[in-house]
Amino acid sequence: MKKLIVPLITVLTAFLFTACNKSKDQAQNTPQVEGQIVIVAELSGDGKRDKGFKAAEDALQRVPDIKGIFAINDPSGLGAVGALEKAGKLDQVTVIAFDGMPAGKKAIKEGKIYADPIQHPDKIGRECIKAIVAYLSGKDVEPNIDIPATLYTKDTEDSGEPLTPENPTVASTGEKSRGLIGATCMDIANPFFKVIEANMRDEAAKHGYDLIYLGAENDVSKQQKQIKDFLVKEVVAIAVNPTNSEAIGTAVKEANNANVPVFSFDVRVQAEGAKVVSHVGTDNAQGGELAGQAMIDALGAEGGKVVIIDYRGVESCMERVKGFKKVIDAHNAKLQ
Amino acid sequence: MSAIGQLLRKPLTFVSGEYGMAAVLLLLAVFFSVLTIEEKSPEGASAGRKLAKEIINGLDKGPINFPKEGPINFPKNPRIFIASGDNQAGRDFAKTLEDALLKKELTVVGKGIGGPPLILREMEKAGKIDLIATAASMKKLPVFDTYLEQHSDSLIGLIHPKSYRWPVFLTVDNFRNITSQIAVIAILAIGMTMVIITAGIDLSVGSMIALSAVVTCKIIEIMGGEAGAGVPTLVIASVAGIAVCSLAGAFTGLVVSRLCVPPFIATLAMMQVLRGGAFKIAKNDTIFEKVPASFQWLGNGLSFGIPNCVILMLILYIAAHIIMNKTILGRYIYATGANPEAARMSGISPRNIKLIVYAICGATAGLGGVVMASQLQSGAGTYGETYELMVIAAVVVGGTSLFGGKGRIFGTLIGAFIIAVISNGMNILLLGSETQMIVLGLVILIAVILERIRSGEWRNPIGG
Repeated sequence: MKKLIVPLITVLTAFLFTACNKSKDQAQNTPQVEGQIVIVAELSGDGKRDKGFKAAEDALQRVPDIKGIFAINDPSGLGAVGALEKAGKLDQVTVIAFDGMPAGKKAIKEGKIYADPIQHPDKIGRECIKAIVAYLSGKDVEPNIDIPATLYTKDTEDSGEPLTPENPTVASTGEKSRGLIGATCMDIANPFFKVIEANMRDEAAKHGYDLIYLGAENDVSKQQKQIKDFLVKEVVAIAVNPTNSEAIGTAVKEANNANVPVFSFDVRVQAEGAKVVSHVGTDNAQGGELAGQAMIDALGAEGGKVVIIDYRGVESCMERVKGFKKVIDAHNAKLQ
Repeated sequence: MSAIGQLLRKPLTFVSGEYGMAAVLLLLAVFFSVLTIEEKSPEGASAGRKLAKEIINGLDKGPINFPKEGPINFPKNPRIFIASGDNQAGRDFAKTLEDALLKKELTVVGKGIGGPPLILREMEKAGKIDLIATAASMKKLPVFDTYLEQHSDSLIGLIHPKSYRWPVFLTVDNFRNITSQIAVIAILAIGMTMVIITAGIDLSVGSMIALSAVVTCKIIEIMGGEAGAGVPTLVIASVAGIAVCSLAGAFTGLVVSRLCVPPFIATLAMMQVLRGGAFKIAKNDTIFEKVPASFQWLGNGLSFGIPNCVILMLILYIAAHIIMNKTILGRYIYATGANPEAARMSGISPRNIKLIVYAICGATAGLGGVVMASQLQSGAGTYGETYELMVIAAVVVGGTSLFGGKGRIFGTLIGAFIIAVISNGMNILLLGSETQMIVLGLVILIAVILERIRSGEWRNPIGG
C-alpha cells in the first residue's frame, strides 16, 4: 500500500498544478484595449447567499482589482455584497444582481447593489393560472407567454408591493371548487417562488380553483414523484417549474398520457415528445442583456475585470449569463 | 371471545416481534386511506357502457339531470355530444358509449376527444346539442359553461357516469406510484443494510447514483450513434454504470479495511470525489439527447401490471434475503458486525468481508442509478443528492442497528415503504413539503426509539 501512496500524491499534485495554472492565466487576463470589460472568472454561487459570499471572497483573493460582479440572483448577489463589505471594497466594485426580491431592492436603494434586472413573479404566477383557466374554458392559448424583465435601479419608483405569502387571500373554495390545479417548483425556499405561489393562489381562487403548490428541493426525481401524485389526485391541470428541463420529460409524458394538460413556468420543459400547452416566463437572456448593458454603463470608459457568479445546472440562470456575455462581447468588439 | 383472541394472537405476536415496523406501515396505510376518501370517477370502457345504460333508461323514464336548472324532459331522440380525454381510457370510453348509443338508434351528433379548445370547436361544429355525455372527471370543465353562455337559448343537459367514493390512496395507480417511487431507495438500501450490519456506513451512495446514471447515459450516447441505441447497448451501458460504482465501492472497501480509515470519513471523501466525477463526465449538463425512449422500460415500464423496477427490487430483496440467511457469506457479515474480534479468531477475515460489502453496496447503488436514469431518461450530476440520508433512514427505520450485527433485509424493505407511504400520502393530502419534512423526521425518530425500547437498550446506563 505504501508503494501506492507516493505515485498517488504525485498524480494529485500534478493535477492540481495544471488546474491552477490554467485558472491563473485566466485571472491575469487584463483588458487589451482601454474600456474593454474582461470576464476573469465564472464561479458557481448555487444561487445562495453563503455560496455567493464564498465565491466573491475567493474571487477577490485571486483578482484583487475586480471592477464588477454579476450575480445571477439576489441571494448570491447579496452574498457578494457581504464579501465586498468585509474586504472594504464595496465602493470600488459594481454589483449587479437579478430578480429584485425585497432584500435585493433594499440593497439597491442603499446603493450596495447597482441595479437588478427584475422579473415579475407576480405576473408569472397570474398569467400561468390565467392561461390554464383559458385553456380549460376551451380557448386557444399562446404557446409562449413572455413576461419581459425590466431594469430596477436606485431611481426606479416602487409601484405597489406584489402579493407576498404574508397576505394570502382565500385558501380554499370548498365544495364549489371547479377542481384542483397541481403546481411544483424547484425550490420553495426561494422567495421568488413564494411570490409566484401567492399570486397563483389568489388568481386560482378568483376563478374557483384550488391549488396545491409543492417544492421539489432541486431534486428532479422528487419532482417526478410529485407529478405522479398529482395524476393520482386527478388534478385538472399541472403547472411545472422543472428542476431539470430534460429529465422532467418522462413525468410530463405521463401527464400527457393521462390527458392532464401541462403548463410550465419560469423554466421550460425541453424533452422530446413531452407536450406542454403553454410556457409562462421571463425572457432570461433579455434580462441578462439588461444586466450587461447596466454593467457597461456603470464601468464607463475605464472598463475592467468582471466576475460572474453563476448557478451551474440551472438553465434559467445560465441563460442570464449568456445574455450578459453577449452584450459584453459586443461592447468589447466595438472597441477593438 | 376466546375465538377472536385466538385469531388476534398471531398478528399481535407478529406486530410486537422483529417486524413491528410492519404494523406502523399498516397503520399509516389505514390512516391515509381514511383521510383520502374522495369521489373517484369510473373510467374507460366500463364507464362508457354504464353511462349508455343510464342514458337509455333515463330516456324511457323522462327527466335527466340538468347542470343549471334541474331535471328536464328531453325529446325522445336527443342530439347527443360525447366529450372525453385523448388517452386510452378516454378513447375507450367514447367508443363504447357511442357504439351502445348507436345500437339503440340514438343520435350522436359529434365527438370531442382531446383538450378543451378542441372539444369546444367540435361542439360548435356539431350544431344543436341536447345532451352532453362526458367522463366524470371532466364534468366540471368550464368549457361546457363557455358553450352554455354562447348558446343560452338552448336547453342542454350534461350527463356523466356516477362517481363513487373511494380512498385515493388505495388505488392500483397509487400503489404503482408508491412502489416505483421507492424502488431506487429500496435497492440502495439492500447494500446499505449489509454495510451497516458490519457496523460500517456508506455516505457515498447518493453520489454513486449520479455517477452510474451519468456513465450509463454517456455510454449510450457514445455507442448509440445516429441510429439510436439498441437493447444490447442499453444492457452494456447499464452494466458499465453498475461496474464503475462497484469498483468505486470496492476502492472504499480497500481504504476502510486495509488502511483502517473510519468508514464515515472514507465514504464522506468518496461522496465528494464521485459526485465531482459525475459532474465532470456530464460536463455540468444533462445527458439526454441520444438516450432512447426504450431505455425507460426498466424505470417506467410495466410487466403484468407491475412496474419493472419494482419486480427488479423484489427479486433483489429475495436474493439478498437468501444471501444473508442461507449462505456462509451472510453469516460472516453478521459475525463481522456483531464481534469482529471473535469473527477473526474463528477464521473469518473481517477485512475481506468489509471489502465485499462495500463492493456490493456500490453495485446496488450503481443499479439504483441505472433505474433513476431510466425513470428520467437522462443522466446528470445532480441526481441522488442527499439520497444517502434517505437510504440510511430506511435501513434504520427497518430495524437494523447502527452498531452492527443486527438487522433484517425485509425490515429494510418495510422501512423504505414507510418513508414512501408518508411522502406519497402527504402529497395526496396536499400538505406542503415543509410539513412532510417534519413528519418524516419524527417518524424516523419514533421508529428508532421503538426499536430501542423493544430491544431493551434504552435502559443502557451509558447512554446512546
